[in-house]
Amino acid sequence: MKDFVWLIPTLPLAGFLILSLFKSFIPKGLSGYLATLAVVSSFIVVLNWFIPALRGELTPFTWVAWDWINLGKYHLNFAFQIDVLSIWFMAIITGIGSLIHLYSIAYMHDDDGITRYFSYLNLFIFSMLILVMGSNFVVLFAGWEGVGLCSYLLIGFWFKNNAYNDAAKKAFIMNRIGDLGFLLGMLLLFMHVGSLDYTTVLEQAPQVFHKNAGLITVITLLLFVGATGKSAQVPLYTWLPDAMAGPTPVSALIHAATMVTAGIYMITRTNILFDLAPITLDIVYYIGTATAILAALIGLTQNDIKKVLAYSTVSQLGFMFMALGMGAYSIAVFHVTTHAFFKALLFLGSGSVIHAMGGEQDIRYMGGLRHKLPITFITFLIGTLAIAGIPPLAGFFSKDAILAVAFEHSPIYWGIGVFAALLTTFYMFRMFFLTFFGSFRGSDKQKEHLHESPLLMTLPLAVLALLSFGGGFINIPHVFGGHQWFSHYLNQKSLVPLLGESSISVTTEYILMAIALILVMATILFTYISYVKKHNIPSADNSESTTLGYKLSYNKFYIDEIYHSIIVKPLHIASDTVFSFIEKYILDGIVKSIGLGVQKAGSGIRHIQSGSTNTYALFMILGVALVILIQIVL
Amino acid sequence: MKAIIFTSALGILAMISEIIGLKKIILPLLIVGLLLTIGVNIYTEWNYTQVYYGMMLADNYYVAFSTVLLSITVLWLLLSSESYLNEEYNRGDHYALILFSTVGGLLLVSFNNLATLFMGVEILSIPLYILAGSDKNNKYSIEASIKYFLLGSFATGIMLLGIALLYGATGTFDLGLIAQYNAKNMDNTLYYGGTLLLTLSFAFKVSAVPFHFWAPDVYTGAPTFITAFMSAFVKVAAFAGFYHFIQQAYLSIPLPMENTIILLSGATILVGNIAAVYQTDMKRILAFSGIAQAGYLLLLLPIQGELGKSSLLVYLIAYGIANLPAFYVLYKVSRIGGSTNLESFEGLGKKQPILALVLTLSMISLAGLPPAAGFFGKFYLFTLSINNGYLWSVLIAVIGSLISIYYYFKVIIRMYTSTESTTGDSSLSPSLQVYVTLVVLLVSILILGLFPDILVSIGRLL
Repeated sequence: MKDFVWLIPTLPLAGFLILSLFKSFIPKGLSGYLATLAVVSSFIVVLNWFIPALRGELTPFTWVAWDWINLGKYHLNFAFQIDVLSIWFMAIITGIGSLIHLYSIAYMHDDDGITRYFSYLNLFIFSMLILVMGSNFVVLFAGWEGVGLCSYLLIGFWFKNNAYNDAAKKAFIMNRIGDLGFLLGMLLLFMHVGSLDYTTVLEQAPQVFHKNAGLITVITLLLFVGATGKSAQVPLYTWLPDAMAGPTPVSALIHAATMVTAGIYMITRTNILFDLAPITLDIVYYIGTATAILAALIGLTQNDIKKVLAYSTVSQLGFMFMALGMGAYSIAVFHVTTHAFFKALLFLGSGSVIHAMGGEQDIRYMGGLRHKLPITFITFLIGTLAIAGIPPLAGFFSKDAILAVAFEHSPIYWGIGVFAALLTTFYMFRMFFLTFFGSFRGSDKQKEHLHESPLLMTLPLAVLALLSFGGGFINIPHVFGGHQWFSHYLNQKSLVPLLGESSISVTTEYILMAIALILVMATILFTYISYVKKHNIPSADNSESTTLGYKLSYNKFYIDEIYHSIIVKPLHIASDTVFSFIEKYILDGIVKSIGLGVQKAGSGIRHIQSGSTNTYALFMILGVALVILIQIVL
Repeated sequence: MKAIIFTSALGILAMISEIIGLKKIILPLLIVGLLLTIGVNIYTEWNYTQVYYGMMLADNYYVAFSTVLLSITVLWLLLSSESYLNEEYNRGDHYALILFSTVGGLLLVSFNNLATLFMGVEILSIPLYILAGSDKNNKYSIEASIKYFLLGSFATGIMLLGIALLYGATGTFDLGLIAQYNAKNMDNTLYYGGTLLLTLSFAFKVSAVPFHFWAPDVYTGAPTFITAFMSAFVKVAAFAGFYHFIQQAYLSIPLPMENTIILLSGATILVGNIAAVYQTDMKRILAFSGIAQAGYLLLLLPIQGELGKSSLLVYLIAYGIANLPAFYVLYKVSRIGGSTNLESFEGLGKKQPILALVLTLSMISLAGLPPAAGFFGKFYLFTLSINNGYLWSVLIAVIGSLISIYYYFKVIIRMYTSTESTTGDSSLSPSLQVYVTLVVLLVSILILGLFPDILVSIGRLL
């Protein structure tokens, strides 16, 4: 049995290789099915371990593919670690991945580059699997960079204009900053523990860092910087909303359900390290909270259906980091799971809407779509209710679990959490009502074009709606007579610590829940009144309101502009000054003079060459002199 | 010794091939000859350390690096064959010069006497001065040639001064005797000055900052395949010779020398990588990337012992096999697109998926990302450097590597950008032998990345 583990990543890899190498031989209609087949088969293999894991019968094991790096003292296997945590992520990746592949067959059917698109999707699934399956940091890093590359390729898939290009570039730079942190964290771990294997590192960390709290704080902070890059947290989140430039199913797969959870996976995997560094955990909590609130505030006024979802993703990721920061790792993974269900559902639903609207993404031009797109409407409603946290949908349980932990820490934490949840409810229902209620506000041509999406698209929607509806039941809290099955599931072999017995009484918990629920319902009612009853449609010229708050939110708090002026510009200036010396005056000058020389031909060439080479020779001699001078200093 | 004789003989054969009517079969003849040379060389010299006439030290280090150098020449001959069918170069003369340059490289990895060192450097360089200018109708090519020659002469001057100082201090050219002298007189300023000047002249050959100015211009001006040879072969030969020299000249490397090299390394990494970000021409990107790679390699020079040697071997092989295919793709693209500008790469993923895949993998390897060979090369090198106490240098190297991902990925993303043309361009298709070579290189990049133990275990025997 164990010997088939390699099939899990290899199947999507094979899909990628076949699709990219034999591109010209595969009919366009077939490529989607081939890619889907690869991921579905991978999912079936995953089930082999996933089902025993659900029953609590999985014996964790490490499958060594081969001895990868062997440098005497240092030893690293290319190995996969199968345990309850990794198998859970693998099931999400291949399961939701399969649905999104299926959906894409219909969504992308008339795109020229469909084969290329599916080959990237397969490559992405492969990289993501490597990321979660690896048994050490280096394999994780391989997957980490792999998903990054796929993400740029997919963002740039519709490379028709510069905006997409810029989006890819921004995602790229933000992730590099994150990677720097991650690499340095890895480097320090390696220096002090002498290994990058999870088992060794986690076993030895308590002894090694016992007396050195400062060091482990630095290491975990660096790892956390890596997580903020990949999981779009303040201050490295601005790339994620821009990354929505890619095709909608990609947004669903990468920028909602899988890749962005890599940071949460990494922190949960190394939770022993983070538990050793309480300061880091506090910072994780603050960053998570800041992200949850800031992104939600921006989401309030966005008019692009995908942008709203993108900011809601950032905000929900913030929730997950809040949970991590409070040491509730299993709750964070629980929210990852329910979020994967309802966010994939919402993105695919928005894809269905965009498909029907012929590419229109602005909710100001939609409205009344519930009659024309009944299945999309119902599934979207379920997704919206789930994200708003209405019982008994999935989002209710996971969000409530986070809020309960928050209350235990401090009522203020709880209040902040509820506030963020209310913001979420507001912008989600604003979008929902504007899209599906009222009268149609688009052009007549769009109106004629309106149609429900084909079965291949609605089927994944239905499955995801079902999961968003019932997904929360895996972790029913004690107050409802549940046993927090999921937290216990992750606690097998004490992989992820169980939360301590709740200190708040059952009555308090009921009251808190009721307050949160009443506030959420009130928010929904408020949005219903203002956007359905009063037809308060944001006007097309963005002058709906000129209050400061609206402006700030609509312009995303000018974060991009601030970044531009405090980071990009100084960098440009610095590089300009540094390179104007070498590049502009020396190299450029030479290039220019060469251009001149070509014109003058003959005598010119000789003249210029002696000129430029003189400069070079001068620099060489100055270099020698400098080095000799340095010798005196050294 | 045999390798040097055989290679020189093959060079002479190439030179007279036109006269004796072997022009058509000269390429297969040379390849078979070189492969035989590699075989004989390994068979007779491996584990059989010998000093030839006090001039040449044939140890395992020599065997390993001469095999790498000869293999690079073979791969170069295979990949460049198309350009000689298409363009009016004088094939025989080119091959002869390349083979003579190879001989220079072989001397550089085996010298046991400063006279041999000097000869090696000159035999390596002079044919390249000529080859850089071999595109006679292109002014940039001629300019590159003269620039390379003049600045190379400067470096030679510095090297000769260094050798003279060493001779003044020790009274001998023999490296064995020089090492003995060093063991007795640790703090001789004249001796130190001599080695320092030699170090700087090597720094020129490996294009370390601030002796790198020639590289971008010469790389851009020279014909693409000559640039490929310079960037792959010369860098490997120069580094192997550089390491050989530093290790032979000192029993333990003095602290100022160590710090000088570390400083050069940091400067080279930063300047190479940052300058590469601003380039829009692929040839220049590769030139600056070559400078940056030299920066990482410099970190290895003060590291003594088998670990340093094996890391050097791994890194140089990874670098060579990633660089050669990249230059091949660059050549192909410039043939069709008319320029080496990055824009010419747009849509390559559609037009020639194989070439795009080749370039993608070699870029990933140069960037040092798993699972390519370059990843392990960097991993090994950085680990060793940390153990040697160069934490800050490794920090700079890591930052440099992250910057480098930007320009390496820029090329990849360009290739997979959509363009209007959706059909395959058959004029870009490589010939069969090139195809096979590329596949071999691709597979080696992956195999060495996934199973680096193969090379490490060989490196341990050096």
